Amino acid sequence: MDLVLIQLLNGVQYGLLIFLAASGLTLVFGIMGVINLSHGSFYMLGAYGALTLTQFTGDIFLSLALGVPLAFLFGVIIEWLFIRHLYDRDHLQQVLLTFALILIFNEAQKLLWGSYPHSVPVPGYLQGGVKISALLTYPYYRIAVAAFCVAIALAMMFVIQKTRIGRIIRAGESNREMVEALGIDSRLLFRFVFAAGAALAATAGIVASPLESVYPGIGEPVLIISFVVVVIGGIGSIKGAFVGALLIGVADALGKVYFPAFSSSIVYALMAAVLIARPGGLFGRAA
Amino acid sequence: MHNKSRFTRRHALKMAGVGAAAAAFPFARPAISQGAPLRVGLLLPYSGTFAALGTAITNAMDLYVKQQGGKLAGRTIEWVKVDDESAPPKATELTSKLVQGEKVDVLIGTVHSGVAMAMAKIAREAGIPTLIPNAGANVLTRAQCAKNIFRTSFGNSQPGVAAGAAMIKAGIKTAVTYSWGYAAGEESVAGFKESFLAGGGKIIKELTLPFPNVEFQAGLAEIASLKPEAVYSFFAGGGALKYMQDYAAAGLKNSVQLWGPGFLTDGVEKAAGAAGEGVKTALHYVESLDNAENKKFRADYNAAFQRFPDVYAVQGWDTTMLLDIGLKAAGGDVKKQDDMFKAMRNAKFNSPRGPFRLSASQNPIHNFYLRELKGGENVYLGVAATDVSDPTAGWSGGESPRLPLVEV
Amino acid sequence: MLARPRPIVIVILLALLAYAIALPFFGGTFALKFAARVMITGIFVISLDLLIGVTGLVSFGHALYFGLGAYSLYFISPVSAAANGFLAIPFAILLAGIVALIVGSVVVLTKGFYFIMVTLAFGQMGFSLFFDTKIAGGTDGAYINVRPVFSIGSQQLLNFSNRTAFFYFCLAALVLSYIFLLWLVRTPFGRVLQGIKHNEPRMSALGFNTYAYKLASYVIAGAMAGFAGMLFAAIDGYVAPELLGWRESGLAIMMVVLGGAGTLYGPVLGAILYSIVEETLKSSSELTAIFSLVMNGATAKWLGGIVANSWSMALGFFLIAAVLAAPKGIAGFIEKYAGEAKRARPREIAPSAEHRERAKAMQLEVENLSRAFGGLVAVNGVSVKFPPNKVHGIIGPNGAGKTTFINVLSGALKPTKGSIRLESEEIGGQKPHNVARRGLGRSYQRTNVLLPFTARENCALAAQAQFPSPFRFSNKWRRDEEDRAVEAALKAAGIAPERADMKASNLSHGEQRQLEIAMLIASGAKLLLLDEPLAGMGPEETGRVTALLRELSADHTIVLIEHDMDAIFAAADTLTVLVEGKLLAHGAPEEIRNNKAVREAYLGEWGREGKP
Repeated sequence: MDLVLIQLLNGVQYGLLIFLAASGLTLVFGIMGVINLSHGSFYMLGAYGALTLTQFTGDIFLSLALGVPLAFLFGVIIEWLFIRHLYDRDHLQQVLLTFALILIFNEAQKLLWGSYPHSVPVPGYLQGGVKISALLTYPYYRIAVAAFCVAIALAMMFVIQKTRIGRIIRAGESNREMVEALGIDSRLLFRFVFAAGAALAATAGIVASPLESVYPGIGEPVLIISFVVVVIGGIGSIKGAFVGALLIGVADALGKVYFPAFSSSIVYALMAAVLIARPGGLFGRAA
Repeated sequence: MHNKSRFTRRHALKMAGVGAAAAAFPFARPAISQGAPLRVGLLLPYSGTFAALGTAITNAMDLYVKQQGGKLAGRTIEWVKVDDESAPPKATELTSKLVQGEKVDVLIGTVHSGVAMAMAKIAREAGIPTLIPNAGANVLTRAQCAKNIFRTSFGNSQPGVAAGAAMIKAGIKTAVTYSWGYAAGEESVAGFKESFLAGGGKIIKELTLPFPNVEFQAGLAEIASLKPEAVYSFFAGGGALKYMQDYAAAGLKNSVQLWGPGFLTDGVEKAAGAAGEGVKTALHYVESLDNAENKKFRADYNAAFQRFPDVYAVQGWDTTMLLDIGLKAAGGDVKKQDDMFKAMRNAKFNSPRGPFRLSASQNPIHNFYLRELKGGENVYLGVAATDVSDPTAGWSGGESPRLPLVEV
Repeated sequence: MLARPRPIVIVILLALLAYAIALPFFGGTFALKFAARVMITGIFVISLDLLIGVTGLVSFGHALYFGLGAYSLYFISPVSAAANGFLAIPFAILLAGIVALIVGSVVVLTKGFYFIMVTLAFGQMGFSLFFDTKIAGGTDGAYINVRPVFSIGSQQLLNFSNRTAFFYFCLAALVLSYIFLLWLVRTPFGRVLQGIKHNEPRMSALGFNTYAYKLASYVIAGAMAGFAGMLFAAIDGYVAPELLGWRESGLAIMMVVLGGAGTLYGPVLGAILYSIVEETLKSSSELTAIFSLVMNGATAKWLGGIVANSWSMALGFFLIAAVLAAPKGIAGFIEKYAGEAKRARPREIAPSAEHRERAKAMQLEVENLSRAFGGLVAVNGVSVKFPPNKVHGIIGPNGAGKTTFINVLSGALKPTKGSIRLESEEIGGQKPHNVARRGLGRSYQRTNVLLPFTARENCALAAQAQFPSPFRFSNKWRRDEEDRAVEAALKAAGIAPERADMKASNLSHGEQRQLEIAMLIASGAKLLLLDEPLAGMGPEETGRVTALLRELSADHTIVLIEHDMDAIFAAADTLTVLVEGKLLAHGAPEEIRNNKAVREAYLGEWGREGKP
């Protein structure tokens, strides 16, 4: 296979994974108006949780089935303990409080799991891969992760467009008062949305753990790139997050080949360019 | 009512006292009297990515001192630990806190090269005995070397030089380099190029990835298209683990040999599993090294910390050993710098890593070993290069080679 | 509007200043270094407060300028000699300022969260520039071997290598930076920045080019941060790429929030508190000493060790406690107990004999005007003429496109097609502030005054809009003229003198609507576009405002949307009926009342009954 094609493939796969992480962030920000800097910590906790759960279950997908409800529950607790105090506050205080949560989660990670890197095994039935060039194999697990991300994306779009909870979420996105008018307790909605966001971040962390390996600080780059994706796609838009994530993934993969010296700036340059052309992101309303 | 209000007032006073104490403490510090414990400042990472390294170094140093009955050259050792977070912007201030605030007698640090650069700056100005137990930035023992700064770990290019030589010996003719594009990675690759090119090898392409990025797929695809005989890579920690896994998953492991400095596999031997099988590295330490010091050190360390020591622990051990030599020569008085530094500069001892001595610029001259990762362990294959030294003119004997900051 | 600091704040600041002045006499080398670093951070964070707290621009990339300032000292310092401080400081300020101008011209186009992210992006690009390339030592950072010296000819005035001199220099720099910003935000220029924070569309509609003001604020803040960064590099002569990174930017935001955004002194207190808390939590010996005040020695030592070991977690809990207990930061905490700030008494000014000239107002003419949103045509080919010195009513059912029509006229929306002429000048498609500057003022359907400001301050900003130079720093220029315009406007709009110095948020709904009209009068606009000025008013207030509109038509042209049919038919000289974006009828009230099409489409029962 041609090198450029392979890079496109890598870019799409990477993009799908960051979509999973960014989708939770865009929901939390779009619906609740909360800037959640600790989003990357949920990704990290997902990855470390996968490490521990897989030691018991022996299979990453069993860990996923166990881990996602746990992450949701954890999200509910964090919302109840901290986040719910922030709804009437301005963004700056949300930034401060969720930054404080990062400090706490990082330290907790160090105390619980230590500072050495760990790996999470790829299940036996997904070992190996497809041969795509003389020397290069594309691992089955990466393909499985990509498929999983696409499935989640489709499921999310279905939920948002076609179901009652989706309608409520869309209403909340455009107008908080409208949710109240529909007779829904917005506090409950927010708790659900925050927990769902946490669960999505953790899901990304879990499925990525066999790919990424697990080590301290794993959530930080995910946080930054997720914010970039949310902004490119337009705040609150799942479709935007999907397109934005693919764009970032492909730009990053191609950038590494063609502009290796500046590849770390490419995603930022892309974001700045999008915002200058469309100040509300690709699928967002102009701010 | 009355009681309650008195209680709250007293409570408030107490709180105010705590606040005032907190405000005053960074500034007010008692002078250290003679004959007091020897205060050793540890500027090391205890949080963040490098926390494991900081802990290993500290453990080994603590073990050494405990084995000496808590004293070196008759002085009780008191550690003053500061978490440097591997953050360069804070580094000069934290060093100042140890040197001028805590008034430590000896400074030991650190892991991150940028932090070490900042630390060395202050250490040179203050003239305090300083030992570097890990950071490998070449310049610290090249242009910026100083009579009071000693390194017990390695210079970044040293493992590269050894690996390049070993690859030539193994009959490899063509290679691609793939490493993080920051100073440590570039210096490591420069060392590799030096010996690999000298031995007649050909470097097809030098690939880099911005630090600390871990999306290796793009580089791996390019390696596959370039079809070299081997790849030389500098990655470390969690990134190295992911790299080996991606490398194996991409199917490259069977067709292109993976080589690197020992940091590629250290600390992640077990975690790498099958993906790490067959990765060859060069380092100044290997677990199974057959010498008395190493055997004893491994047994003692494992007994104390329920974990076998890694190269960072060895570096911590040698740091304390070197300090011990210097202190003994100075009779435990760090003010006698001439005696202390002379003894340290001329020190020769058997470390768990084998024979250890220092170059003119006070960087280790030591053996590098060729290792292969097998069954979760770095297996000793032989000596990759003996007495590897970092090329340098060294400290010229007068003042430090470059102008120090002048304090009026 | 930002008032002068209260007495209690001045006392606190002076006490801190006295402590700092005395510090070199009892503190050691490290104490001086630590304090100098905190003060430099103080300069950095107040410059950020100019953006966040004053202008309302939350920058997540402010460390870019701090880091550039630091690197500027590296660039200008010879390898083994001192740079001249008289060059190094202007160089740092210029470098940071120029980059801020270039970056700012792009980033201030965005708003809110997007602004946060795009500033982060530029900050990270700056970081990458120094981290991934070799322009200044790369990843490992770079040394400045000799600290700057201030000299003229061979005369050395100040050497930064002298710790004490450097310390006092930083202290003076912080004090002057604070005074400078306090002065700046209280100038006409600064008042506009504060207005932008609270309500940018309103400021734009008053005739202020908000883009230019925001850019100016961004550049000033960037230049100050560059100055602070240069001082930072001079502390130890070491610079690293991380100085430009997002962590440093984030840390600065923490300090601003912790101290209290928008108060200028608050962030400085935040920087001091944050630095001391972090310093203390990291040190087991300091923690042990503090804990031993409340428990026995052994327990204190044990606890101190544990906390210091997990200091970042302790810092996290401290920050959470701080944000929950003091939502407005330290400054908010202090001011809560200090009570409402005293505001300067209004100046007495001699009323001019005849300040309101009866003058010819402006004519507005619209031709074939359309505005579409995607497929939906909200205004569809409307042509109508509004002659001067008349009251023109626009009526129509909900969704008829009335508000869109006004938004297009005022420049808030661009027309899809057609032309708008004010007198003989084409204003269609121009920016709101340009339209406003030609004499067109507007009010909004929802009350849109600057709530944290007093009625008088609201009008003063409006009066200032007559001469809205972005670089207007004198409080004296045009002041009499403006004060007279404010007095006259307040009086004309019927705001009682004792209510004029109350915050707009404390005024009744009716009073706020009157205030909007007062602002329009004060702004000197000759054509007023009013979107439902009578909405939510009682009969008595309605009567008063209707009378006011009639009176204003002596020297203004008034175009208003209204749903109160009784009032509009009584007040208007002409009526324009819009239905589904199209012009249905235009004429005198009597013609409209008798127009069959209008009755069927809109007036219905009300029209048939023929009520006046």
